[in-house]
Amino acid sequence: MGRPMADSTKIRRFARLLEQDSAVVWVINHQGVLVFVSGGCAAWLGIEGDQLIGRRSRAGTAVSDETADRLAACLSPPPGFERRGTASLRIQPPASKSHRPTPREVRYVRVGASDSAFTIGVAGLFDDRHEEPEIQDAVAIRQRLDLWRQKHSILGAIATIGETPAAKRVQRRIKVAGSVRTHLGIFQPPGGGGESIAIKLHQESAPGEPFIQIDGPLMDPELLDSALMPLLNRLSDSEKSLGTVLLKEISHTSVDSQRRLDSLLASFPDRLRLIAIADLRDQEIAYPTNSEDLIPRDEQTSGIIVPELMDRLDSVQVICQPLSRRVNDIHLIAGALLDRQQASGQSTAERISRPALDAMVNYPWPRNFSELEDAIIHACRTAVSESIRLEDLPLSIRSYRSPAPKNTIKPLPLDDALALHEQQLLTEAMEQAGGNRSEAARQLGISRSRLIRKLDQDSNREGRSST
Amino acid sequence: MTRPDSSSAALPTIQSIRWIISEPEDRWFYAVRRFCSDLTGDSVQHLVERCPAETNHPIIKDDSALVLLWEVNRGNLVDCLDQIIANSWALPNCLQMVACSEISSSQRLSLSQLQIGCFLSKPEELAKCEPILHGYFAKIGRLLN
Repeated sequence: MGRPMADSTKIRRFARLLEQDSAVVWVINHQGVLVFVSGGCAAWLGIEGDQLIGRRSRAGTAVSDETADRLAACLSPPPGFERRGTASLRIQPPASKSHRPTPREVRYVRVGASDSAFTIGVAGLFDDRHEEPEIQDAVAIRQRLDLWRQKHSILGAIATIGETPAAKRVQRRIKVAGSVRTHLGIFQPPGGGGESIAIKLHQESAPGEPFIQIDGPLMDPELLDSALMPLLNRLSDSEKSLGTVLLKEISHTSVDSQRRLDSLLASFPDRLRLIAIADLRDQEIAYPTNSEDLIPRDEQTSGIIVPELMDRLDSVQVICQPLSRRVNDIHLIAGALLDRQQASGQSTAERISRPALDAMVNYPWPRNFSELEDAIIHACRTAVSESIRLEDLPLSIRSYRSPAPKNTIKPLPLDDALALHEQQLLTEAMEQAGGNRSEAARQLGISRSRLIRKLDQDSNREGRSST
Repeated sequence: MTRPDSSSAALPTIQSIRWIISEPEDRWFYAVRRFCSDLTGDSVQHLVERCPAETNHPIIKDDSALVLLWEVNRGNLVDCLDQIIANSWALPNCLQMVACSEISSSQRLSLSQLQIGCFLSKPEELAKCEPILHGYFAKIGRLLN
């Protein structure tokens, strides 16, 4: 074992040089066949060098399950090497019963003209792999964006926790939206955490798929094309590519831009998808049965969504309610935000005091989830004890006083009030007696004829009021 | 073009806009100073400041109209990315722009995931920011109201 092998006169001189050293080197010809394996390489793999010569070494699976074929396959350069001409790889050769090779860093380089080029593989201790600026940058960018998306996913989950029917409904919609890659509409009050929910849903429904975030109100059709260019190029280059547009504030996006976006979505059906966030302002957010109910009524303040896009967003919709309608969820959301601050080492406080919670429940939260998040961050910075006190909350929250309920009920005249009360008693007695007037009169302690008179008076009064 | 929120209606509420330019040299600083009034007219006052590239780009707390322009190249790409992410959390209502001519398409695609108003490659392209600034003013106007 260990004798260098060469089957080509072109590389014999090179092989003789390597005989003098234990260098781990191998050569693959332009047909993907191993033509040289150094002694060092053979020792590393735990096999006689001449058993490998002449075997195919191409990226992918081995020609057979034979140990030599598997070892030859593991020496192949990675996909894309043909184009680049150099490559770096960490190789872990397959182990046999008697030999377990250690993983090694390998560098490949192509030598010679393309139709007869050799590929030289060298294993050793290299310290250059992570110093290529582009690779280093790509790794750093990926790490940072992963963290950023993760942070959004957590916030998206916190924004929708709760036990109220509104929260449960959103949770059910999110479960559906996260399980399927389709166009998606998120309708929320301002500051409802829509961006975080959208990124969370994108991560769940299409992990790893590139997306572009677009701030709708800033775009005209030309700028939209320019902003989407990298994604559109990618979709044009390969029919297998997919991409997502995350459009913020769709209802404040110009109609022309919305139409342009619709035509782009039509150009790449099923491959380009839209996640649109619409802010619904000053509007009762009901649970609509059809998409028309979602188009804001007041176009001056809330903008419009063109029907073509609205039809696309009909696929799946997530409709978030304002915090003022999820009062019973506020303590859960605030607690989760506090836990998050604490976990990241940005809070010494561990709980929220009762007066602080009461103030939070009492406050109307016009900026919804984002305002609650800001308030908790502020409180964590201010808190000096284990508990967030009322004084730790922002001034706007702790000083808020809910307006006194207006006495809108007009007092009734005494006779009318007495008549109304009498009518209620008569109705209850008749219901309890199953419509039997004698029994009802007995229960009320009056004569049957008096009861009949009273009932007639009531029906006459109702008839007058209805006319 | 039909805009749901008329930018002209929102413009009077914005009287000044602050620009923070982060770049290794002074090219974009002077370009913004030169073209900014063309973008919005004289009714809006532009405060253009440098943010030296060698500092750690402190997050500027500001509730008014704020544009951050980052000149990104291969050398400072990751640092700028950190700052863009930090600012997108701390200042969700600021407008961030990226000036870049050297970065690759995949790097630009990565940056596009973040909230970036537009990508510019040379100072002459500042003119194309006009509709973006008007849209931004309308947005800030809505928030202030």
